Amino acid sequence: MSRLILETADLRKQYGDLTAVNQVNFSIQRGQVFSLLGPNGAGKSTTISMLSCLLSPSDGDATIDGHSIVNAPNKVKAVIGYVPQDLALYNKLNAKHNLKFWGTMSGMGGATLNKRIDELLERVELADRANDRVETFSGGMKRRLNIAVGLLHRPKLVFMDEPTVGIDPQSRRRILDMVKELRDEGMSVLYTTHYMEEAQELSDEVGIIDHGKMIAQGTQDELRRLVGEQDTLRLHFTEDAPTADLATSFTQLPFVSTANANEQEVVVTVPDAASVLPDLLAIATEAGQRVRSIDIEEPNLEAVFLHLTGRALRE
Amino acid sequence: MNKIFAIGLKDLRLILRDPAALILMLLAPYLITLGLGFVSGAFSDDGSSGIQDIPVMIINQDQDNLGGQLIEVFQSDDLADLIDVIPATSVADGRTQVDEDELAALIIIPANFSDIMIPDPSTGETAEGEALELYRSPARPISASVVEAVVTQFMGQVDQGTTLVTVSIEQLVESGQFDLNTIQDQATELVTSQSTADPLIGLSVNSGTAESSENEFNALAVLAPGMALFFLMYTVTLGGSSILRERTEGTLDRMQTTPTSSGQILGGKIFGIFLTGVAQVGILVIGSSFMYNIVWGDWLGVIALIISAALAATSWGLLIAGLARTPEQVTGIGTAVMLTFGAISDTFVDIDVPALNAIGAITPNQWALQGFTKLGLGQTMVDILPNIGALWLMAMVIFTLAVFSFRRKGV
Repeated sequence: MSRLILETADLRKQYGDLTAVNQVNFSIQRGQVFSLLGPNGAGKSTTISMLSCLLSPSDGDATIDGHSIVNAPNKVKAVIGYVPQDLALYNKLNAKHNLKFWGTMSGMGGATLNKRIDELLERVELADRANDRVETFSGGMKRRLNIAVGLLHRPKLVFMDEPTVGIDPQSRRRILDMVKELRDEGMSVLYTTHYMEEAQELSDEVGIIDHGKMIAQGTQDELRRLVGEQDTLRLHFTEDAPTADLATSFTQLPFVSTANANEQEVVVTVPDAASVLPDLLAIATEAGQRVRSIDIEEPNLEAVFLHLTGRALRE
Repeated sequence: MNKIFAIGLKDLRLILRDPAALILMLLAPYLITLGLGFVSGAFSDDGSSGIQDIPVMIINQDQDNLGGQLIEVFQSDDLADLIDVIPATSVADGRTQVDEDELAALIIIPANFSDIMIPDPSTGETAEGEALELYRSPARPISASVVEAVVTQFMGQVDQGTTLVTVSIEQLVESGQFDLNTIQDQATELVTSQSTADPLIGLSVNSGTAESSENEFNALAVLAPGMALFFLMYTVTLGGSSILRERTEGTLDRMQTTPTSSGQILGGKIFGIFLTGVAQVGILVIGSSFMYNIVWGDWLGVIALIISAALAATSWGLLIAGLARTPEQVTGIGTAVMLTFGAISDTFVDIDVPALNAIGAITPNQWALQGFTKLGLGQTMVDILPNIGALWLMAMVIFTLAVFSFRRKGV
């Protein structure tokens, strides 16, 4: 058995003149969470639609658990779970009837299905609302049920397309914890998001997609190395502080890469902010200046995206 | 197969939880039938079923006055709207008119009718002789049964000795001994039983040779199936639009990511629409039987016709959904088709335009309505086989077109 659950080969989707996905190549190892990070309209959902056999690729292919999405879509469908971005539930049915219906569609039935439904309702914390119509649920509850549907038949690989869009922080937290639990249980997850924090928290590997192209992929450390491993320190002073003089003093320190004055703040880049901060504060105190606040920014995926595209992730 | 049933039952469950759909599917047909029934006089105070001016000829050969009393009953003001007594000619001519379906019934009152029915005051015995003959048209089972009910009730009163020859019929009606309101009930009972269970002494009932025709008009018996079929088109349109609604709501896409084939999905949707249609017409048929005392006829035929009509209508609903792009378009086109089909299939009024009647043959309404009318007139499953065959043929052709249109959409 291959260690890869998914591997794409020049996957492409063309709509007339528009290339929605352009020769995308990436792979996911078994038991990993792979996040597809990119702004809205980058091609994330189209990629997932092709991988879940909803759309036929214009070119290229992908194998999931060894089966081609082009040549063996039914075998692929048997091993994947699909959690769409837009809720795909029957609002007039209750939670249990929804799960029963979708379980039947996944080929389950009888006592096995009933037991699995009870398990999942517990897991998504909807057991006490099992017999209530979905139309009476909050947005977060619907999202959780939407995820439960995708997990019914214990898929080897789950596609989660922006599963936290438009929900309250508490429900979001529950969903993120659930994704981590699934990984711990050995399930592979392809997670699309435009929230950098979610990708950072969940991902073993990240693919950054923009304008239909995969512009970078790897572990978070690998991606951060693309923009260097410098921390950014922002020291805020009182209004009349001689920030230019302080910046000059900081520059002379061997561990400081850059130091620039900017009105009442000095921005310093250093390899490890935590270890050099006491020295910087000592210099400022010696100069008779009082620090009002300090911000430490570690390199993140937002910075990577900015570095690669020249645009912020949410632009 | 399991998945097809699951999709179908899910759709039925969804419709049953939609109050607006239920009102249009079930309540509206009842209310409109009720309204049209009132307009047509089906619920008029005389207790009739919408049948009017039943042509009856009475040949009175009675040498005493009981025969005259019976004629008075038929010519009374209370029966004026219901019965049209045709001037008597001869027995032979009367029988011919019944056989040619010009009369609903011929009543032949024998020469010694009074003596047969009324005991001699001195001996207490009745005379022997020919029975009163009711020669009824099989083409007008309900009308003939109304006539028979009147005769039966009259003779029942005489037989019980409650009717005295000196008592006028008006007095009988006023005293409540002759109850016109029960005539319809008796007629219905006679139609359903197809016989007089306990024939009265002195009454002989014979059937003529007239072939069934559409002359028999029972307002409710025609209105109710017409409305059921009219709203069946609404139901199948609603079902058809659910396919597109599932697409816009993402559930169709989700189904397509499961190991469920397109054929199973389409089959399930068809089953759901069909199931809903059968349930709707079935409920309307059963309900109207109880509510309006409508005699639908041979139940085997009724069931076969319901299934066939639902199947043909389902194919139309599917084709409309296959041709439309959005659920809203389906609703718009569906409503237009529903109204058009209703109009050209004589659901509301009998349009005597040959060209329109010919076009009406493409509607499930026309074939099914004809079938229900035949069954209501006492014909059986065998007699409606052409209608059932036409509905199945229609279903096959339209289904093929619908599946083709859905294939083009990638379903």
